[in-house]
Amino acid sequence: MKKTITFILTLAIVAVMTSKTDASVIESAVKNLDSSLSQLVTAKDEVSSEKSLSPEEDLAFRKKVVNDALVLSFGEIEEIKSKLESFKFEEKSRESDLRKGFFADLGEFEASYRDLQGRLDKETDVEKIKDVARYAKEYREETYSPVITNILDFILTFQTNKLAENAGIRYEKIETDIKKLEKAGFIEIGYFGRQMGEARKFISDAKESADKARSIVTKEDSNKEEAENSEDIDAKTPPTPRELCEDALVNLKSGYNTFVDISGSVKKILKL
Amino acid sequence: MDNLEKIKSLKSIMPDADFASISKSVILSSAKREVIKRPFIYEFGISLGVMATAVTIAVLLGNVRAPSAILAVSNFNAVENEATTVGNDIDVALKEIGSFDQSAKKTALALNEAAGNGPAHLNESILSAEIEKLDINSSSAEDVESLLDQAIF
Repeated sequence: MKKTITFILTLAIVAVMTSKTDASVIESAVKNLDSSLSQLVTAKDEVSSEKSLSPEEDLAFRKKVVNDALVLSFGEIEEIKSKLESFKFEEKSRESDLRKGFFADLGEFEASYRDLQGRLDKETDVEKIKDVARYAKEYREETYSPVITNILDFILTFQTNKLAENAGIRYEKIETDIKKLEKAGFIEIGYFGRQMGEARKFISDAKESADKARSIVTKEDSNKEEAENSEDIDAKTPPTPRELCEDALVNLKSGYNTFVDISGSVKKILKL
Repeated sequence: MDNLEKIKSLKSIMPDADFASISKSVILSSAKREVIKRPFIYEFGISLGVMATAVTIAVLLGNVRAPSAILAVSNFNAVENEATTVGNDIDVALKEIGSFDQSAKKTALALNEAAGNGPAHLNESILSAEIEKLDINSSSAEDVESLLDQAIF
């Protein structure tokens, strides 16, 4: 029963993580942006000294590019929101507080982009459109992207910790099964000792990296820099949460590969 | 001679020597046949008993060992499924992070283009598109940007 629930939960998490709807919204927004950008640059490139781009065309192409960039940002915001919503945190936990803050930030970004979109719709002067584009670019680089990076780090860290935790549980189950098979005489005692040792190391390394990432992303802002520096004091540039998570994920993959190898050997021994 | 005397005289009655010999051989041979038959039935019974016991033990042992084996195998099947799922989750998580990086770069490039008055024939998008056509092996935006940097600077 417990296994069934875990299986259903895993499926639900996977379904949320691999949600096609949001991904396709982003993909389509990226394609639209690519296409409108291509139209604009091609139009500019084709202009010869004798023939210039008409002000109407110039205005329309620029408007389309800025609008598509904004639509892409809306898609990103929605995708991030739906991911954050899918996570279960204890009430009043640090993670829960951070999520509330992230939702507030995302709400502000959305409102700012809606304002810009409103301005864009109304503008008929190409120079004003350029101003909107310039402002949108600065806003994205200086305000939006740094926060989005933090949120993505938070999401990745949470996912990585969850996967590391599940891998630990899986390790214990396999260890129990191997002991059962040893006891029943199907395999020699210690036959999988080396491989289990390797798997344990992969998973403990993954947990360590995931823990470090979590301690960085959940620190109070004032202590965040200090935490990052104290993690690896000798290194010139301390690893970012994303790098730590990537390390953890690589180790988890190796751990699971070892599990699959063990599983294959067990089946061979049992002639199944 | 009264009847009593007649019965007493029968005490000394003896069988005829031939009859005794035939009877003895009949008795002995019949006893011999029984001795031959019994062990066969007896052994057959024991064999059946041993077989039944062996089967019972095998079944009992099977019952004891099979659940652990079946349980272990089902858990090992779960390992393979979980490994596939986790592998996919990891790939998806990393891909998503990468796609945000890419869309950030694209957006910056697009907005820059919409905001700028830069030279129409020397802009980043045109050059990157042309460089991409030149290098059929290069498909990632990062590679293009790196080549573009080399081309510009």
